[in-house]
Amino acid sequence: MVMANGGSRERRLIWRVYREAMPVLLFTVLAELFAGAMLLALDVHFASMLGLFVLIPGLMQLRGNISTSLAQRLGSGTHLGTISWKQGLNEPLRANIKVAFYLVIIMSFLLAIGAFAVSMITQSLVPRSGLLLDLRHFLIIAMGTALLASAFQVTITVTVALLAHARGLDPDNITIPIVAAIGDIITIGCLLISITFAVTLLHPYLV
Amino acid sequence: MTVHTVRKILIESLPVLGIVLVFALIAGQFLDYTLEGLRIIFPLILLMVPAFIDITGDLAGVVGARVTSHLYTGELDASFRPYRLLFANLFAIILVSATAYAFLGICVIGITLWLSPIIGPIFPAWGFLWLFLAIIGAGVLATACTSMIGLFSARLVYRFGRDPDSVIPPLTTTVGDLLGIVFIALAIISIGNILGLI
Repeated sequence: MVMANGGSRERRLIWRVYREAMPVLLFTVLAELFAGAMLLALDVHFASMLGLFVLIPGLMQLRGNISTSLAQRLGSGTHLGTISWKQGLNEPLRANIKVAFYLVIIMSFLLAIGAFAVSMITQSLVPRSGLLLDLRHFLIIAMGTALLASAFQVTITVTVALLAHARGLDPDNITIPIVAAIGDIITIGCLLISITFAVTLLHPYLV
Repeated sequence: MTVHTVRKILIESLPVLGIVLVFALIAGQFLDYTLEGLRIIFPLILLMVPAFIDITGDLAGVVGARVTSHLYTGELDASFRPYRLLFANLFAIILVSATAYAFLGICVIGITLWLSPIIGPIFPAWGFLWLFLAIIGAGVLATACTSMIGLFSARLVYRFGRDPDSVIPPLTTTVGDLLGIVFIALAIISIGNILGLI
């Protein structure tokens, strides 16, 4: 009897997780397929640029970890009453926005240097033909993408969190799924802009 | 006060983000070096990369968060007993991942067929069945492996008296990226072998 009750409790748990996780996940798959289509467009135009794809997981991670952390901190701030739509751009909110940008600048700088170093090492070990990016390209592409994407994402994160709170909703339940779903689309869109800028506009001056 | 808050958040965030960066660079390097060969087998591989790695990281994160909540509410002890509850969570996530990867497989095959007048035929008709099975198989394996790493890390972190909530999300998303890219590459290579494309 105990086993039967235990078994049905676990079956209920499995069904509940399945039912609650699936709708959000299916929506995320569709949003990420759109990001994938943009990545494919990037590949069609810039496939000959060696080392470019070293940056992709890092830039996506940067978006996820910095915007999601910001969303979590804003959620806690609204619950504690230190941040709200009525209080506007007060000190705690400014501090959170500043931190997000400081982290983006530091981490995208390190990502560019890391990606350049890794590309150089592997290129010297296993040479490939194509356009080898130099450190200036990596810095412009990584930092340009991260800063541009963060400008959009921080604005969206702050607006959604404060509006949700002002309308009596819990920002913890709303902000993170929205930021996660659109984050990769924004990041890859900004990556396309940064690469185009680095390669077509600055390339003659960088060579 | 504000300066202290900024500094505190920076000090807490930078070490974790530094580790994440190292894993992301390894994943990126793997993607960059295998992409050329993978494109020959399946030119639309990049279409599914963001969704594939996102599902893995998200679901492993859910297992980590759920198990941490069970630890704090006392439903699981420090040794993660009763195992029935632990395995129920793991099984639920594997079931969710199988459905999500099946949905991804259907979407990818649909888009590939839709684009075939432009890019030309990629596979013989039965090749799509292999693609569908490979996406589900690789995805479920990547999710299971990432979840197991997340669970072992949660147990280790909890035993050392630290909060798993601060460590598990960045760890699972990062390991999920790396394993997701490795497993998707292996899946495409296996299709290439089966169809005689490599």
